[in-house]
Amino acid sequence: MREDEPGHDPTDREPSCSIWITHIKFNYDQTNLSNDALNIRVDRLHEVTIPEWDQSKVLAKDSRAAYALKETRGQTVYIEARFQIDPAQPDRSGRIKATGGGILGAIDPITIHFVNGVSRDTSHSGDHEFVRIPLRHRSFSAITRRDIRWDWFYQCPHSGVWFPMDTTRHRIYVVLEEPPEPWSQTDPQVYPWTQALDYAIVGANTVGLSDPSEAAARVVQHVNGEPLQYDIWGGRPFYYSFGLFEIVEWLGGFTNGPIVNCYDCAAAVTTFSNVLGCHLSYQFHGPFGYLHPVFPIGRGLCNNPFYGLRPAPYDVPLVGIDDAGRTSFGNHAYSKQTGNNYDACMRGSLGCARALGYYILAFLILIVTLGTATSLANRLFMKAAGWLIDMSQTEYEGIVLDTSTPAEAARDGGAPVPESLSI
Amino acid sequence: MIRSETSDHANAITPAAALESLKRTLNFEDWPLREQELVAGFSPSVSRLPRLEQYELDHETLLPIISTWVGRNYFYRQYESRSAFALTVIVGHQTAKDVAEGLLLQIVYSQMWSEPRVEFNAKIGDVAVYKHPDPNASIAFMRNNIGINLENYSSNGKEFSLEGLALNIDNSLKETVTVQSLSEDPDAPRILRFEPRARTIHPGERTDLDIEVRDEHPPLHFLFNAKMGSYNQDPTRKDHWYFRSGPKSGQAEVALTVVNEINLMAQGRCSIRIE
Repeated sequence: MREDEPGHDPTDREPSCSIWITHIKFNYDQTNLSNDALNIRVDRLHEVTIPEWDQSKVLAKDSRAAYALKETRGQTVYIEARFQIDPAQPDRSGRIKATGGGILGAIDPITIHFVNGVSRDTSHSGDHEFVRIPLRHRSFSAITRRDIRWDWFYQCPHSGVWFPMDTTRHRIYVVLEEPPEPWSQTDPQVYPWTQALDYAIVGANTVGLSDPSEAAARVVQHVNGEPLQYDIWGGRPFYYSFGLFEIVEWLGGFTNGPIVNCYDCAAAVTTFSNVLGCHLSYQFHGPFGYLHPVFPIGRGLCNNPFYGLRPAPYDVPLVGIDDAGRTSFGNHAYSKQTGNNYDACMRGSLGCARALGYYILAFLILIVTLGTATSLANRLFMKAAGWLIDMSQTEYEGIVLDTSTPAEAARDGGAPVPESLSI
Repeated sequence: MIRSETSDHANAITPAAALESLKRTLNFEDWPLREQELVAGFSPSVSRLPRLEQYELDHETLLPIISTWVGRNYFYRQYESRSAFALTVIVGHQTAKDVAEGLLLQIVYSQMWSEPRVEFNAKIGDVAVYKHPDPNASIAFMRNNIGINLENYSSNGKEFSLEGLALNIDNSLKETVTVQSLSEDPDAPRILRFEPRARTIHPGERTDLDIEVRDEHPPLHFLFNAKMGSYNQDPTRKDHWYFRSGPKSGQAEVALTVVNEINLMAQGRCSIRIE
């Protein structure tokens, strides 16, 4: 065991001083996201206060920070921490380090200057009681949420022995890049909410993903798998009003009830994908038209979506193919990313040939790329299972929209238009 | 039908365009709306309508505040008969025309293909709009400054009389005394005080918001909007609010809207200098 490692003969050496950590800032500069953490909130009504950690915070969930993978790539990321030393003197110095740290990594030994017992660092323009510390061993590679701990140690002046200081615990989120609308890094009310990050990372199981298409696809799966059912009576929204996604009611346990329409689903997919740093836009498509048999959210196979109040024979979800007496979508909403569609409001019923085509393509891609293009292959497997993800407009409409007869074609004719979305 | 990937949106209809189209179809400019005869708030839970009391309120949701009206959705159920309906109440604070537009927005924001028809001075409301041939599926109507939208969500839809319920609500509204202005109405909430504890703060700092509201119809909903900072609820005291400045200097604004149970609102605003 080396002399400077903790545990080295601690019993026969009492420290000549005591150094302790009082505060940690992860987001010390709210105008920068390349060298520190993102601006975040807990939810609509509660902020994440800075410093994110102080001595009253024991659990990881009480000290949260989020980082953007793209903006921090190739950059040195820092934290700022405040220390105190006892006995206090006008000018002293000591050393600190921390082991552990998970994805933020261990903290290499660093010399701390103390003025009247409080740490002092004039190398930056912020609060000089906070010492800027580089995270030289951080490892951000994909979307994640990790609870980390640092075990801190200190050395007194003129001593080579490390003594245990404190343990701090933190919840760290990593997203792909700066979350776009409806989120913001300049409007403090809509800084990304950790409640939304929990939903999109843990709930939607996007941990480990670095491809925005696959991340959005997982969000589609998660939204579609919620205990919700399509509004077969009138196709009305319950979580979307005039461009506003009622995210509090959604995340609060679906307090507006279990009935939804496509606006609700598109708003949810856009909002929760974008908090991960994807770039989805909410699209309104009207007129839309008649449906091929599909699986609306929470419902069985259906080509007559508003059968709830219709007289017979249209009071059932599935009627004859091309029956123009069945109900249709006056309009529809879904999301787009880089031109491709994502729709959690329904799943397609592909038929054997089309599904087999996706499977074969996925296997071919895996073989040709020697297993390196797993994200693309995964999306093709998902498409084969009927998920409406990462599809071109033509591919999407081919599965969903029935325009095979003149009557059906007459009801179609619209195109998607991006609509702004707020929370 | 195959379309190009980069649509020129030539045939696309936005919700705003759909609203204008619906207004033309329903001769909106000719609607016989009653201006300056204002009903001072309406709530199905307070009105004690006999038909409504047979149902259980499943949930209610306040709609985003849009300029001059307050809207709220109520969802009622009766488990034994598997009957259910959604009731949207829109209370206009200034003009009936704004409310009528809000009512049409309720129709526009539906996925179902429909060809609505309008009736003036018929048996329900000043104006009634039917989305379906079957009046028991959906009815929207205006009575003075109150907009009502009823949608049938029953599993046994054919046995449930939505029209009867609409008549019941409309008769109740007809019997209500009207006023010319809601701004000084005793049933409306009144914001007596809404100001920051500190008029000037530094970037990143917080200041408490002192709020005092008088109201006869609780519970109150507090809706905020903040610029250049955020509004926040104290985690330890739920009736305590504060403003946290963003990182930039300038003039921050916080707007407060309070809405009471009968869907009447009051609005206030305050400024905070960040330097």
